Amino acid sequence: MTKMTRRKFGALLATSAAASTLAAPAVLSAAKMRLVVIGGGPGGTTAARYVAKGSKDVSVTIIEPKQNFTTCFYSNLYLGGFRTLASITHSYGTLAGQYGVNMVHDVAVDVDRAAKTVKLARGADLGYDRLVVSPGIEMLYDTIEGYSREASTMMPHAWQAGTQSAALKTQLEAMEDGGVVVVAPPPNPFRCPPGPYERICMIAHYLKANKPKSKIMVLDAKNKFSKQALFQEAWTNHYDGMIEWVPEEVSGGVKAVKADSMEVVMEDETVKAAVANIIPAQAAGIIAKRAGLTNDGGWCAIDPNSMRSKVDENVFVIGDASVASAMPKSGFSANSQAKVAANALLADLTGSKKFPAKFRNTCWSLVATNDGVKVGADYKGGDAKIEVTSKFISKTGEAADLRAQTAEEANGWYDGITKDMFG
Amino acid sequence: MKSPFASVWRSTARVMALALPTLAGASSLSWAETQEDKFKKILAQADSAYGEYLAGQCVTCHAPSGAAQGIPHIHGLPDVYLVQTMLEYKTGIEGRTNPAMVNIAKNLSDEELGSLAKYFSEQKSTQ
Repeated sequence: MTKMTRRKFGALLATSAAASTLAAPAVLSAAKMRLVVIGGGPGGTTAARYVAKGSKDVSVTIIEPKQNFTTCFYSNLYLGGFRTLASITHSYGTLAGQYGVNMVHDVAVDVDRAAKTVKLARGADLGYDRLVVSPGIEMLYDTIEGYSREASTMMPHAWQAGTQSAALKTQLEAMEDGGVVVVAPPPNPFRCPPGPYERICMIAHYLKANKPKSKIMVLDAKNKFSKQALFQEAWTNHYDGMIEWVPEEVSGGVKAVKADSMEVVMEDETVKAAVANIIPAQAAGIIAKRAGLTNDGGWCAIDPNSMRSKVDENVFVIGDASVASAMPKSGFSANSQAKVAANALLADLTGSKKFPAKFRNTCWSLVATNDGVKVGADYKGGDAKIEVTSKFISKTGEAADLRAQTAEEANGWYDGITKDMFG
Repeated sequence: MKSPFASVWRSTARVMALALPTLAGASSLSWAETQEDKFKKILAQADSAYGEYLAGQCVTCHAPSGAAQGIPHIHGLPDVYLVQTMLEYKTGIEGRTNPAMVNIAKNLSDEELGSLAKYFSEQKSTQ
């Protein structure tokens, strides 16, 4: 079978209403259909694993520069001293060994959507029949004057886990008691909406035990935030007097930083920080833009019933990079979307049945020892966008045993989702 | 492992005590049979491929193996038990109040519930 006919076949499957009845395996015996996945995070690993699990007739390749993956979720618990970095770092060994996923540890630098190839930084171009783009986020450093990738070593964002998380923790451990920790949460939309506020709890937890004269100043780019009542309750109950939250309407937000002198500059005031956790505005990972998949806002529009790109029927975008409407940008969402995408990908590539798109998300946050809160929802693919089916949220004033149970439940979820991602 | 059936019948008795105080004269055996019929009717609608697909959204939290911290293992449990438990979340009884599970249960059709219960009952728990 030539490449040309295989491409035509793929296009036929994508557009034919009768796709599910085609005797695809007979055709596929000549050459395996090729799924290439850009990104080895919650979206990419899950999509790869579910497609590999669903069909032996599809070759699955993940392009991911990192040899091991440190989850962004639970990295706040590392800052609080509840987890080690090693305990939230995972190997791709089982995906490769047990599921036959081809791991290419390289950087995807461009996509030629006409030729259906991915250009790599070091290796030869990779051809695909279907492409999953799950690159996570790009930090828009230049939205804050003086901030840059280089400055982020002095003032870590720690919004991509690993060395950034370790840098922030090292700085917290090195600071003198009595210093000011500045946390600057980003404007919407951004990865993990409750994340900055859980982080504030975890930093406060560390400071309360180790440097109790220190303060946290939160210079927010917004005037409200996820689970606000629950977090503010926790700040009063557990860390009274330690945390000052300054909304955008008061400070105007962070305008500039001076990493050399550890200064954080607002419209009318400059704060000297002992530690500065600057989390800038975000957009879809840069490869999504290079591939021509992003909209004016820097994110990728998708079909809400499959996660298929609105720009290219052979490409699926999942996780933070996608415009998932009501679904927050979270590891849980990416994992959930990946399973809807995998079902649609298998329908495209093998002729298997496509089921209705159903998604789920739950975000747990640890606010103190044995004190957990959560928010979540079920979603479905609507006509124009992903829609909420129903939702729930923890309540303020809940009993301590319920909060302890919620915190424990989060540990169970961490175990579950990482098994679902990495096998 | 404790028999899940024991807990099916314990919780059936609890539902009866809560929901049927006015039917003191009715035979508890015939009521249990009615419940059993209801579960079987739901399970009869099971579609295995749909169950496998829907289960993807469950295993994010319900791992097939491991320590089951705060989240129970559901792989390999009897299908009737799984249907009954989800119906308890759907209707809301004492002890079935976890908002995440209540939220999930209320969105499941009988076909979806039957498909999920059948799928998980056929999986091996690897703990």
